[in-house]
Amino acid sequence: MSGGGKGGGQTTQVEIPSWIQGPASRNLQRAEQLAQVGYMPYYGPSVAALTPMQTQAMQSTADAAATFGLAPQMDVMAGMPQAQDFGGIQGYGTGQMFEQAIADLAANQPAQAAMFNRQFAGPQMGATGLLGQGGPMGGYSPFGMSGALPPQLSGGSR
Amino acid sequence: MAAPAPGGAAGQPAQAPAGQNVFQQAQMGQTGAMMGTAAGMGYQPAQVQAGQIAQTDLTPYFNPFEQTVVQQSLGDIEQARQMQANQLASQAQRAGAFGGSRSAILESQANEAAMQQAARTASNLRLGGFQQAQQMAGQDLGRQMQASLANQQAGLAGAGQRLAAAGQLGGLAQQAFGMGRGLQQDLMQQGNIQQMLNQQIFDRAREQFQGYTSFPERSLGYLASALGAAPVPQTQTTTRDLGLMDYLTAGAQIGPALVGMFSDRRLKSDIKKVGKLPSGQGVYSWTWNAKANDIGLSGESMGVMADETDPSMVSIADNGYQMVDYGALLA
Repeated sequence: MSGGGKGGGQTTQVEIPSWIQGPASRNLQRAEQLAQVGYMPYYGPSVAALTPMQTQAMQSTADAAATFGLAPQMDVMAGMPQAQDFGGIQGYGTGQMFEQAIADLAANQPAQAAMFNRQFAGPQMGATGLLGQGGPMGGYSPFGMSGALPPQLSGGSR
Repeated sequence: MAAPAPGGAAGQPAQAPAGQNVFQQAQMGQTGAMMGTAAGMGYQPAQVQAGQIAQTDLTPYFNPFEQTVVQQSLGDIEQARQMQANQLASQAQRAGAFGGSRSAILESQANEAAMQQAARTASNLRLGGFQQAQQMAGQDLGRQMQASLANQQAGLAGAGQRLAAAGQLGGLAQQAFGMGRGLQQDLMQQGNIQQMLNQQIFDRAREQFQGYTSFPERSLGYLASALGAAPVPQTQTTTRDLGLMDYLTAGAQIGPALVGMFSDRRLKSDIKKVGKLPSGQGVYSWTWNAKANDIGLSGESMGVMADETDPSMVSIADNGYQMVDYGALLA
């Protein structure tokens, strides 16, 4: 603000020191790059499976019920998902369900899913998405949706 | 009546087939106990009826030699009668009265006595035999009654034992069931501990992965925090254009003291231009330096420079420093 005359006036200017401008600017650039990475799916184990002791106890309970005529003879693990081995520990992961959900989203809402996916890099492609390209909506799908990959990345696979 | 135990013959304990678990044994025991209890509830004790002499055939109780004894006794009486008759006949012959009426009367009396004795003897013998037979039959009936009562008591005792055994079997079945349940719960509890441990391993692994994926964001945070926490020196430059009111205010504040105020540049440091007078002369802020301190001036102040002021408004003090007549300057 400036002024003069009878009332006068003053102008205030705040200057950030030059030594801090560089790191701040680089931090912003790095944040922009990281924002393009996108969601990192987790394909590891999430839920521990029932242990043999638990299944044995459950089977014993079912057998006892059958012995006393309260239920038919049954396999307590029937209908339960097959556990996977994760380094010697039995458990379940949700990676496949996640991929299935993404695929279902792409199938049901293709335009929305494609636009979303173009914003970010593919998790295994190491490339940048729309933000990094700084160009038009010519990105690619990070989750394997065909037709959205740019030519240079079309050979990638998940 | 003994209830047949499951898997075994009546009266024999049930044998648990090899390989049966405790629940199957409990179920067998419970079934056996229920069957045994039901059988015990329907138990009918043996009926005992008292025998009667009147309806008892006493023939087996008579002495098979009774008739012989009677005949022997009657024979003895007959022999005695004949001996007496012979004696009477002999006496009558000696008296010459054999065949007489007196002899006949005596013989007749002897025969009658013998017949009466024979009748009494036979009667007594047969009465004794009957009474003995009746007594023996009565004793047998008593023993039969005693045996029947003993059998009835034995049956009741056996039924009681079987009921108690059924109850014990039921108790054992319940105990086996409870033991099985306890072991099941132990198994489940230990299994839960194992699963919880596995889950914790999975959770830690996932935390590590999340730490990996979120590390770039955190690294940005480190830098942002460092920038935010550092005392960033900011240079604030304020340029002030003084107006008439400013001067009037300044004049009112300093009053007569400003007349002849030291405005020599040599007494000032950290001089900054903060504005200008309507005439274009610069107005500055400064800090009084050591030389100024020597003559009693200290701190910060604001004003004009003597060397930029009209010389007619500048004077030289005794100490040699220039002074400005602010009264004339602001007039």
